[in-house]
Amino acid sequence: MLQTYPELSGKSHFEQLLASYHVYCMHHQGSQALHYKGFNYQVLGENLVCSDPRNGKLMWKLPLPQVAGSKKALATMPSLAGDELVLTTLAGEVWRVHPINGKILDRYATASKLWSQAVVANGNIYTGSNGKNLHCIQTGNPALDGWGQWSMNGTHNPVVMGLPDI
Amino acid sequence: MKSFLLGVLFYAPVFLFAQAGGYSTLYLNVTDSADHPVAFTDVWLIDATTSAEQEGITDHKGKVHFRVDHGSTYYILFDKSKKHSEVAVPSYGSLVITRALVYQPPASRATPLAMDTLDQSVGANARAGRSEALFVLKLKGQNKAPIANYPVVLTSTTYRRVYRTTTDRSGNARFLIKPNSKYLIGLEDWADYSSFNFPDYPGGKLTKTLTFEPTNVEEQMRNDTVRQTIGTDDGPTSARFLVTVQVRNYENAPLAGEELIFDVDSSQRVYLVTTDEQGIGRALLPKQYVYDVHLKYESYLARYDFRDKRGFGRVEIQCRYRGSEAIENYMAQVPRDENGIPLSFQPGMVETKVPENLIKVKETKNGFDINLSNANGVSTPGVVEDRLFISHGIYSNLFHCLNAHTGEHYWTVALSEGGASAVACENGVVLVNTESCTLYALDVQSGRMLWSHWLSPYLWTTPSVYDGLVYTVYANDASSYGFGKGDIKGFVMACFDLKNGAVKWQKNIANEGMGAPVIAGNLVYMAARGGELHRFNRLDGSSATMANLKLTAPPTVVGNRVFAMQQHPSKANQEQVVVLEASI
Repeated sequence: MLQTYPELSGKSHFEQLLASYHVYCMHHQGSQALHYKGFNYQVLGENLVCSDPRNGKLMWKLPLPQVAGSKKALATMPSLAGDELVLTTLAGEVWRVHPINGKILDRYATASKLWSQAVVANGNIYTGSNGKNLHCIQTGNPALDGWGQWSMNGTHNPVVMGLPDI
Repeated sequence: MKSFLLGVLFYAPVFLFAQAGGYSTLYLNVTDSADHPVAFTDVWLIDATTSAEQEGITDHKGKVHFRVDHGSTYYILFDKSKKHSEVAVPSYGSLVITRALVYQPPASRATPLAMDTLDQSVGANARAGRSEALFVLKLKGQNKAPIANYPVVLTSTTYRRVYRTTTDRSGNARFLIKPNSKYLIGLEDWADYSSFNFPDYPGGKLTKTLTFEPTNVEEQMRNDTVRQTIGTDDGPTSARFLVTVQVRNYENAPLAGEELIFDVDSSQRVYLVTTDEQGIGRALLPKQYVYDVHLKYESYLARYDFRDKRGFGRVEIQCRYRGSEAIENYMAQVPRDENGIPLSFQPGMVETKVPENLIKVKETKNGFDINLSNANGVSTPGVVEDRLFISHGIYSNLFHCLNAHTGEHYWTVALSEGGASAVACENGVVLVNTESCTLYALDVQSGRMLWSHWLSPYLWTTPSVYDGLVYTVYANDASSYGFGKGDIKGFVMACFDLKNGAVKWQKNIANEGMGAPVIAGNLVYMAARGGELHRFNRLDGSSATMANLKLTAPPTVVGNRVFAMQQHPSKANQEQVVVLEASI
């Protein structure tokens, strides 16, 4: 073990999620990081967080939406498409987030709790739900592409333009 | 003495599986800030447009439900002078809406008082005293005959008091109760089968008639396990659903002696039944609960929500199953290497299906929804060019290929089991695991099964694929699997040839996998649920290393660094980032 980044910490949903023994356990991501252009993006506790992986420095954090009538806030690992982060949240919203400043570029409401990561291809955002629906959001922006599988592709190593040495 | 009567409440003996029209059922689960259920508390639901008001009381689990109209917004109140939250009901979609609410009752009510329990035996000529009221419940069966000597429970949430008695020969249960309260009528194990409000009318009398078909079932209870024996003539009752499961093997022969497990959601209780010579198992399951149905070596055959179901309901399902004895024999006899790892695998079975009326595409404001009828939890899909791959939810064995732009149907196959994982795709092959527990390689274009491996009874990960090699994790120990057996021991990390499924290498790992194997360069990583991080040469499984880092999420490998999450060393329920060297 090289080092830890204690300042990059948050509430763990690990036990709760895996104890549910739901199908989502089969693609449990927890707080797994997406690496994009030299920065790590991950959900820590109730925030989406961007950090510098070289030193653990927090670059920005974005509070997640709370489930209606509850203080619970949770989201999946962000997907990356067209230079944007795409986030599905337990509160049922899908967010497009700017990776540099953490600003929300667009948001879409669904009528579902969203537990599983979105895939993004050909300008469309697809997300499963805790109910009967697969939601497809047609953004009209074909640049939103390149995340056609859970955890990016068959390697399930979510690294985009990662540098060999950091 | 003045008296007043209520009309007969009669429930039609027909259960409708789907509610027609524009309403849904809203379930509220109310907990306090410490996540304890807020029991026996008044809840009001007020229509934001019409101000129409509904009143409910949470049960002992902090749950209460209301009927709500599609497209309406409602305010939720625990104190009538103060809105707690609101809920907007979609104008279409789910018939069941669940909301978790956090509500901290006033300090004086923060700790629910224990219920006083009074056993009563009130004679036919009894009169209410000045501070009492008389309530008479007339209990009749479907045949109009009185139900005699039957236990009835009344619960007053206002006074936190439980009254118990039994019906007399005429089917009458009499109670002397305190007026000015709402009362729940409990029959069998349904604590709020019905209810009534007794006004502030000391000395008054209220009579209510209920038609009720009691349950008469042979049950053996041991702790939270209930074993049932249901005859072929037994039907559903007022308080219980009849569930019939027919189990056949892959040769379509009935499987006798198989144990069916009906697991009560959010409870330790399970109901067990055994299939007969026709491979049929029957269970009478109390309403007001949600059940998952399992076989010994196959989980999540179905999920049933019997909450808020009235009348006489029955459901039937059919399933294919390898057979518990066949699985045990196979696991005992399969050739194994020096580490006890199987050297070969049985194939799964895939059938082409026509999903009649199971898939509906609806336009939405931002695109479209693909509605998968009867699904319960839809996983992350996969997209390859214009093709979208999606399972029909955890409780279905159907797996679909649709047009990614329109939702148009391309093909559907039925896998041998339900519980499909997310998919991994490469070179025109889509790979998917099922929970109980086969790895399938399907042709992207046609859905034809290229190869498959039934790996074990237990699998909770998604496969990975890169450069012609497929990676997954499975449980290698049927002996420790099954209801009441505890934790499974013995897991294997396996690598197969994408073209034909040939075993490339296999290695024991410490625990069940977490998420999926992570491939980076010539290495493959597997985080295990015990917190371990395994690392192998991905081509031959050599150079294995393992460290228990108390991981809570799969790793991300960037160049020569591995970023992962681990339990915080000093803060309970917290996790922190840990950085490792990637190279072996």
